[in-house]
Amino acid sequence: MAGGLFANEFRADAPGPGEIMRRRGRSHVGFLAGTGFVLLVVLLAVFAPWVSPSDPFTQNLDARLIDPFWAKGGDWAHPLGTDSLGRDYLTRILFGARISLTIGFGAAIISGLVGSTVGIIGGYFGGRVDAVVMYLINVKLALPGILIALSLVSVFGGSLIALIAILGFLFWDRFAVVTRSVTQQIRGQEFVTAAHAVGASHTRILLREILPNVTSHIIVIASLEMAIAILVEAVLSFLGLGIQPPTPSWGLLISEGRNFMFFKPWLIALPGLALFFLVIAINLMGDGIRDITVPEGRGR
Amino acid sequence: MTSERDTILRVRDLSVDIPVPSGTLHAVRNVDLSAIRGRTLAIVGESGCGKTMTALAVMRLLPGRARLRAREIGLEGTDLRSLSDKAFSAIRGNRMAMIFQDPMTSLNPVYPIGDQLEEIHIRHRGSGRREARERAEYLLARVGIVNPGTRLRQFPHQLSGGLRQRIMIAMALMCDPALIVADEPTTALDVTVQAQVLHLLKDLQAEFDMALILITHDLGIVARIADRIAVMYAGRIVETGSSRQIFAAPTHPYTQGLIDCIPYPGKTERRTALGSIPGIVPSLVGDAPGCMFRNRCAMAEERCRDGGNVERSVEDGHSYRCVHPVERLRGTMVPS
Amino acid sequence: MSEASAIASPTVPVLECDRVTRLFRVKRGLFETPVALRAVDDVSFAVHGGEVLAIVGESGCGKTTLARMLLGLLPPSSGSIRFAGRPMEGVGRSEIAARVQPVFQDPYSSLNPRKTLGQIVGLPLAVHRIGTEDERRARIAEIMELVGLPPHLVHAYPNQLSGGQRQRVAIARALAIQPAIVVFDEPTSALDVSVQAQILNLLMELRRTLELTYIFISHDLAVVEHIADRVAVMYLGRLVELGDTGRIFEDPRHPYTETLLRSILTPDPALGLPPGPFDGEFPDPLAPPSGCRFHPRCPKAMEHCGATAPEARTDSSGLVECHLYNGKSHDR
Repeated sequence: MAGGLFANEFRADAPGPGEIMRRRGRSHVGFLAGTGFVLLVVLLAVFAPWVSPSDPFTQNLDARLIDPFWAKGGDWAHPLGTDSLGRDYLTRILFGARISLTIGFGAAIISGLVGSTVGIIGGYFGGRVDAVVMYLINVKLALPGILIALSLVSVFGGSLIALIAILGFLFWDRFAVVTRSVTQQIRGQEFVTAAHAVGASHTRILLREILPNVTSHIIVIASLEMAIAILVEAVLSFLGLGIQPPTPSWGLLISEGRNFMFFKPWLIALPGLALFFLVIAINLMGDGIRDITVPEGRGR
Repeated sequence: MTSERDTILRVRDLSVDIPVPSGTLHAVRNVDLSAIRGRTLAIVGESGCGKTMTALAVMRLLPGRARLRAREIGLEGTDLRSLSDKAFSAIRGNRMAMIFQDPMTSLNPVYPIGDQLEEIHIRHRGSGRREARERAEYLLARVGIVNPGTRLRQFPHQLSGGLRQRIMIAMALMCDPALIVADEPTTALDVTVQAQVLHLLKDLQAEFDMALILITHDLGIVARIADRIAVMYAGRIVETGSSRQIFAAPTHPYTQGLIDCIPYPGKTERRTALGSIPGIVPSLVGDAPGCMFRNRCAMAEERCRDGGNVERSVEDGHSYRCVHPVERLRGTMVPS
Repeated sequence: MSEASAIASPTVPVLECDRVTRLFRVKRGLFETPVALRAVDDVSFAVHGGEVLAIVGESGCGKTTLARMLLGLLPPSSGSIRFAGRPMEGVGRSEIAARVQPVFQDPYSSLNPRKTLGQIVGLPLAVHRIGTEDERRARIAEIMELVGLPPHLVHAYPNQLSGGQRQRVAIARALAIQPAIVVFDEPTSALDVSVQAQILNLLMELRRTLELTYIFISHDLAVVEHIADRVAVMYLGRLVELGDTGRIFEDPRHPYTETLLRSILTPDPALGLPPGPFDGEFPDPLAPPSGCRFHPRCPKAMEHCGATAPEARTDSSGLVECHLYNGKSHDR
């Protein structure tokens, strides 16, 4: 009899952290919608050569400035019409997504690596190391970021690699500030002291004990920084300092459409909307990750 | 026996339910209590047993989601259930006051101690600043604080834990309440300071002729200070009686187990195994007919599954909830 | 030879503190010069193999700082700590870890929430590269069984466990590397009484079967009385009394020890609250009283107590640091 009565002595049937996050994720509308849209854009961008109706660089001067299918004079050969050089606009937008996402991911990864390393090291070691880290962060915050980005782009040119590198080094400070303060909290917990007492090295404690507890914060910031990087790339390209024609970037498409703004407003509206929805979706996804990964309470 | 007039607080059939994602959590089930003028009632139990929820329910300080049901919550003849929130707040802090475990979180860090004490008196008694300050100074001196005038101008962070807890006690006494509810008032304090604070509570209770409800997990404190004891487990009062009855003749298997758990210098043989209660508290979510203690009880049998909550009486004023008769419980469980 | 080791048995103590002092620089305000806080002040004692030495005292007495030094997590400002006769400075970080392991008070913050129990218990084995993967897995299962955790929990996360189970995990982690000494810092004060009894029983059983030495830091004197062989009483960084548990509880010598013992509340309703006095606030550790640090609160204080600090005296029944036993008066 005792066996049955003691059934609930050990409650390993309670969900683990992974299962709790899965459950939360499945019922989080913002997260599901945002992630769904981002995934859709990623898939379209990856498979752009196969899904797009034509080639993004092929000009056809006989078919310039065709309207989208819903307008008068539009047809399904060019669902979203053509631009001033007769290139298929849907194709250009799909290929533009590749640029935006590459820049977004690339900049977020570089700034995440730099900022998190700096922040975690400062938060963990404290003292002089932390003073140096704080100094770096303060210097970065005092610099006019966009201005420096503009001048660097004008020096190094607007190649994709250069843009990713410049944007990456522009955005690391927020990673550093957040990971530093989170690490400071974790460092004081007894499991870190226990790892020290076991004889674990600093490297091991940083990578195996602290990092897993900071990762969710890094992912949340990364998603937000990605959205900002995509916007900044669009701005730079719009100003003619970023991606150079004929490569299709959304910022560049808007810039090229400027001349026809009053006659063919969809030239600006379509890439603008794409940018708008992608950024919103990424932000929804980031907020969702934050909600899903908040630590479980102490309760049972 | 105590007369009706001396019963300060009477609670009958109090239940607290909290909706949670997986159902309803029954934090408190069918609790009856009464607090008598000049006497101390101790509510004892382990974390999650519902002792704090019971106190918060009486003080109408339950978290927003919690639902309260009771047949009666009467303070000095007033039925507290029927009062509006506004009318209730005229009573809370005035006729009854609460002392919490952590005085730091119940004092406002940006105001001097004096302002916080005086405000209570001014609000409830409509007194002037001067009169309130005199009362505050008197009480601070009364709780053993030297040069109260200086202390009143200080901020909470400038005081030690023991001093802050004394200030909380003075604060509770500002309006001369009939009832004080103290929730683990000494748990955060060092042992010597704990003894000071308990002495203080006891002396003040006699001086001001108050009823005291003491909520604690510490059986040592309970034994030394309480007149009556209610032992709670998983939301229910499983045994209640006078201090002497409970410690001399614990009847419910949980009470017996709890007393066997604590080492007693001079009585428990050193370095021998202590009595312990195997297992952990069951989930309070969902309906649970029968005795909640049965999954940890050595005497559990089939009928505990549904019939475990009958209240039986041992003698006058001493009752327990268990299907087993006293003779059987005593015969098997208390060999020592 | 230190004073404390005079009462030691002829064998070499497993752990020895010789005039250990630890200072902290504390800044009180933004523009003030830092003040030295003597968290542990000139403490000497020896721990013998297989015993349970309890360190008791109120918060701020320096017991946690002392524990961190014994674990090698904090170097002493002066004095030395010796393991089996060898000074700690000469013993490497990982050898210290293999000899002394901690168990902390808070079972919630002592386990990494992102790790499974297997990873947590196996951490010492992984760090010290002990055994193959299969051997480690077997060792983890063995140690979990030893502390009363069912084997299927090896893949569970800390949030799935109760406080008592978490504390069992912390004990398992400490024992995985087979240390000779375990330092417990208030191991049961965050637990419910019924769980506390389970854990104390487990600790006593483990000590017997594994022949461990315990340093048991606690403010709960009833628990200390039950589990310890010897008791060290600390007050404001000083070791004021040290002796066998039985002697300390029956015949305390230092007035502070007396005060502490009087404040134990045994569950006996016939006794009522202990008689006073429990006067005086705990002094500011940054500006400790002159002379004997306990004199402002001491019921037996004499005139010279505030002027000169008493010297520690060691005899057959242990160590005491009080003017009452300095031969000047009240000779025993």
